[in-house]
Amino acid sequence: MSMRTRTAIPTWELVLCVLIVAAGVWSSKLSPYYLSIDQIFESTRHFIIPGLLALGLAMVVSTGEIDISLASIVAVGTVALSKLAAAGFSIYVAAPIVIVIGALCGTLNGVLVARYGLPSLAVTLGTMGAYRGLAFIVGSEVGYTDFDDSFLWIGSEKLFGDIVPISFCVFVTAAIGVWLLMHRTFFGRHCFSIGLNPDASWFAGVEVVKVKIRTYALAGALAGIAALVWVGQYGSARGDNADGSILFVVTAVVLGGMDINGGRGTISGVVLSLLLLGTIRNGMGLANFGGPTQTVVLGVLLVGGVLRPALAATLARLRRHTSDKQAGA
Amino acid sequence: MLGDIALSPEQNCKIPILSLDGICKSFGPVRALEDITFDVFPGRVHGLVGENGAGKSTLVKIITGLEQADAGRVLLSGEAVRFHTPIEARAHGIVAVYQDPKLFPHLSVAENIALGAYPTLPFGVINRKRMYGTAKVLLERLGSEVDPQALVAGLSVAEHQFVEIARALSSDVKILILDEPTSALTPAEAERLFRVVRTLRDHGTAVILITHRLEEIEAMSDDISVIRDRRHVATKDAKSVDRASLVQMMVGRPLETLFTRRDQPTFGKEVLRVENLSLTGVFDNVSFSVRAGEVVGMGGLVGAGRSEIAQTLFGITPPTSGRVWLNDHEIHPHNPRQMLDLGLAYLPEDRDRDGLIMPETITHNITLPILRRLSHWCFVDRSQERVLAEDASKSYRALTPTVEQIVSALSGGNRQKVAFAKWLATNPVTLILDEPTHGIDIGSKAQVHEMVAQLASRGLAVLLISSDLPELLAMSDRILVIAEGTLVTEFLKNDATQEKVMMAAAQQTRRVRR
Repeated sequence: MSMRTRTAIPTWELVLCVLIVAAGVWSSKLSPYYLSIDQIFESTRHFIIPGLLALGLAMVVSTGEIDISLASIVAVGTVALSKLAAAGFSIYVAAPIVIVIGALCGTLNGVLVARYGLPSLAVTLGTMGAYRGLAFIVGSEVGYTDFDDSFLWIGSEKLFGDIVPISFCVFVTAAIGVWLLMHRTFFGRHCFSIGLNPDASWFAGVEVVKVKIRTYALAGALAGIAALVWVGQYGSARGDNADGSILFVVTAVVLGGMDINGGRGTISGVVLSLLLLGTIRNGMGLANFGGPTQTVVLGVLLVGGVLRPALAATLARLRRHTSDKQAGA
Repeated sequence: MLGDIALSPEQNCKIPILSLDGICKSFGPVRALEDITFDVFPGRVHGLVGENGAGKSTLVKIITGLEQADAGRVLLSGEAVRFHTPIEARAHGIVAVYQDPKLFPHLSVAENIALGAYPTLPFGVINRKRMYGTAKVLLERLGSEVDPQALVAGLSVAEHQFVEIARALSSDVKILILDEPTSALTPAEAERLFRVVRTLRDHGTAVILITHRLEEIEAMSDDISVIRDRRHVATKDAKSVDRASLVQMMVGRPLETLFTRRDQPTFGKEVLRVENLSLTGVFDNVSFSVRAGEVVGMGGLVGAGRSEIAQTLFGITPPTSGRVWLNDHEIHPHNPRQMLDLGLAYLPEDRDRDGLIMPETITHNITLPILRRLSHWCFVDRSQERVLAEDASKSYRALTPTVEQIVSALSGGNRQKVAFAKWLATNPVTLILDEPTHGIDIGSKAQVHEMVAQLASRGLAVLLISSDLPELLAMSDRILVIAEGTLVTEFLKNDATQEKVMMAAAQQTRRVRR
């Protein structure tokens, strides 16, 4: 059974690849422009901001916790960036400050969850509201749009012969970094072992509280980077930035094969599911699906992602039952 | 194998209400019960005794339908029965009361007592007046002053026990099983409980009493059955046995020849010293020391506080007072990471829950405590990791084809070897072993014993917690006995006998009321 789940992860990644191709074919049928290089990179814009959040969330989920406040941290970040820009700071000073603010927001979540042992869903539901409210209070109603061009560079410029958007490069770098962190360092191994059995990890000398707080802090820092990309792409900062994108983020993580209870999953799976969701969303846009329909599709995919391990377990149990009966007979 | 059953003439003419006939039970490769056969008679108290882990609790679970026997029959009034749930057993008049009753804390006492069989008015409305009335009568019968309207959450452990027994009495009880009913009671409460038990017995109820306290067995029982090493040793009339012969039957002679340590061990300097270590409400003023190359055994009953002492030393629950020295440096244990770095490792009692990460591979389990050391620039050196795991797996003779095997697929003995390999990879100077052979087969047991002896001869200081008396005596150079959170006595290897250790462990120092 356990052997099966271990080998099931690469299989799932293969399934995701097939689904991505299928979604691509569907999209290209809808619009003849779909298969151009420009259009493909354009479609990546749909998932870069939630993608950065999903990479952070994947780290948190690997320890068996959750953080639904990440989209609100993006808003805190964009508003902070607007204040810094208005005060005349250069991007080289403002950007690190925004990332640190994101990390601090994440750390607060982590301390409440890990040190005080509070349920992470409740804590981050609370901070989701609190951070969002803070962003509205600090930022003005109308929002801030007078960013200097140096602030927009990260979201508007393209590299490599004016083809690859910088935001895409930021995402790829972050994905490689998180993949290395989670699958090649002792930190990542500690995260997954906590997700599988926090007690045994603690007995084995893993500092459970510290590791969990660090995952939250890293997720917050990635949300800070997402805030920079947001301002770069849209050139505006307001309290409602990235509102409602958490559904996409959680869906990407769960559909990517991260076990919502922790301990299992891969970052490559999360990246693949982001590609899949980005393609589907782009396709739905081309097919003129309304926003509510897109939300329904995402919700169904999320529930499907959560159901997947349960379905696999049920299938395995059925198979064992029948083989037991055969052995008995 | 049927023990020498001595039946008095008056018993012979009675019909047993409950007969166990050749009950066997295994959990995976581990045998829990082998061929248990005895009768329980109505109107008599049947004492069931045996060491920790002898199989008493498993037997109770089989009688009440929580577990199913692999072989053998349970006969109720001469008729073979097979219960699948405790509810079925209850419908047949069999009720068990456990040492930690599982009640619903947010319901009232009366609701808990009536649970599942509420008296009703028409339309299914609960007849609260009758419910509270019945509860009051039942509690009065027990001589308890618990208010039927009170919430269970606010009650003491003793009061929980009374509510649970009142609940048992609310249905027609033919067989009442009490599993360690007095472990949390004061002497006065225990006496009140036993008065009720005697009344029930005189009204024809059969009572099965499980307790570690031999004085209770002597005072209460009409018949006594002894279980040792999962086997039924004997069932005797209580009048025909005295305490000494009872203890003799309980500890018996070891069934397998145990690995014994070399006769002349050489001890180095003191490695671990503990002075007046206390954790409020759990243990008090425990002082001892362990030298390099020495195996110090720690005996006592389950719940005496031995694991808690070990876990405090490992930094799981920091002590409230007391001092600890490791290699002549005073330390303040507050975190397992810190203790592992200082060279103290702890093999937890509950291997599957605390000792290993079951869905992980052997390699990942062995290297988890030392991942940091195996890393360069935070990156885990995976080839070094694999070499280390393979070496460990070879030297501990874990019989697995590959170190990529998932731990949950291994037998208890092999799991324990993986756990050993894991803690020894941290290169400890002091090793605390908490029930290292609990639930593993005899072959692996001998290997574990050999391993412990080798480690000690390599100069490790070993603290061995074990409820297996032959093992404790064979392996230890010194034996500390813990009873109810206090270090009651210490035996040198040559002075200790199973009987002495058992007597010391079963004595009542003081009753701590939780």
